[in-house]
Amino acid sequence: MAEAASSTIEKNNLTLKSSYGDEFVLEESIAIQSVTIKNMVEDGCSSSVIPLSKVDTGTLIKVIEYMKMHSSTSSNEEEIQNFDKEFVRISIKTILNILEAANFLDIRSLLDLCAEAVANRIKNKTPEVVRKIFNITSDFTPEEEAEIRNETPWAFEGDLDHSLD
Amino acid sequence: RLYNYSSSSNLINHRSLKKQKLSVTKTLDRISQLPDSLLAQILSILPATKDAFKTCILSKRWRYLWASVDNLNFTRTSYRKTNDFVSFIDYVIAHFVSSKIKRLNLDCSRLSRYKSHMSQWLSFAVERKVEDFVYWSNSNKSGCTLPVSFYTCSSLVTLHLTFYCFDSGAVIKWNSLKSIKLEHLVLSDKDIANLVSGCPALETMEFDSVGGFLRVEINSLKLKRLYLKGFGFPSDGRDPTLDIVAPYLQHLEISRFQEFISNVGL
Repeated sequence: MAEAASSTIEKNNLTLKSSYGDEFVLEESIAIQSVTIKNMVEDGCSSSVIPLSKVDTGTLIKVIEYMKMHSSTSSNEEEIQNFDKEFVRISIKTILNILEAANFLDIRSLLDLCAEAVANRIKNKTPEVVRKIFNITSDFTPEEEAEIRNETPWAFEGDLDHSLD
Repeated sequence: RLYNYSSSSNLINHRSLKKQKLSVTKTLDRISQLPDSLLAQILSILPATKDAFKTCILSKRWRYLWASVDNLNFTRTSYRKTNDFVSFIDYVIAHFVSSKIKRLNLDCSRLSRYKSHMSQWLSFAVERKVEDFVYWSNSNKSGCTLPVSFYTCSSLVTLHLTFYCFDSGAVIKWNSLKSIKLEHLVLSDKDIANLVSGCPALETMEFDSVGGFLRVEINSLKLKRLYLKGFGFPSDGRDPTLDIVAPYLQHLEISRFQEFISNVGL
């Protein structure tokens, strides 16, 4: 990794370190899509390795893939849109990891993309299906749940999507 | 994956939720581990507030998250009865936590029986500093008028009114408003003058299927774009000539003139 950094002297490179200790060298111009990193660079922390203790290696690889695509000057708008569409066709757990990383790194467009992908899996679904999709275990007693449903019966009627997609 | 939330199964409130959150985080599923602010952000993207509200039943962690969204969208679809729709909005407003509403979409068509409710909803929107407001009303002369406070709602940035009757005596002070769209409205020359003078920050003015006035005078340096679609001349015998005096306008679009427009039926 250090060699990669020295071979492109003319470009300013940054080293990002995941929570697992893996290091990734990235051009500064790409990395500063993250406002958090940009602020660190401006504060003079860029000479050393930037530790991202909240981002695991798998998530960081995806975040870097996203930032590279979105800073590429050779791709047009349509290519970016297609990339984004494919980018979120991954497990919900991975999306949630990227979402939290995007929030921490302050990459607005990536945060919005992931938040929308999550929202699409809640939209028009029954609560039972949402629980299954996100592996949520209800800790309401049957009586408590019945009480909520009785209090607001109109919220739980209507044609709903029962699919797990 | 099961976790023991607390030994007592009493109804939970916000404070006890916060206290216990730390201790249960490790055993929660991935999405429920996200901070409240992120979950509220996700719920704010959902196109219907009903979808956000329904998450209250997922688990105790989710009981009140919906009340922190910054986007409320009340549309009539998916309610069997009008009464249910009204009850839903009443409930949401009574339990809403956010101090600010970024965007509010309120469909009050065919709700003339619920005037007092509509008036409360609009006052609520003003109190919570609504910025982008889409209001579908079917109010006519006998219908609901906007509460007085709404005419001076300084948080408004964009406003889209459909089927609305302006209270001609009202003093408009929408100081932050940048864009207004009025659809299916009858406006007098005085209404137009009130509107233009009451919105000093206005940049875009859009009329669709409106009429009744014969003069638009805009001397603001900020107002750059005027769209006039489906303008209808008044049917009161006046000479059907529309004067637009707008020396600083940069973009003007006029399309689909209609023959007549009357106050009846709107």
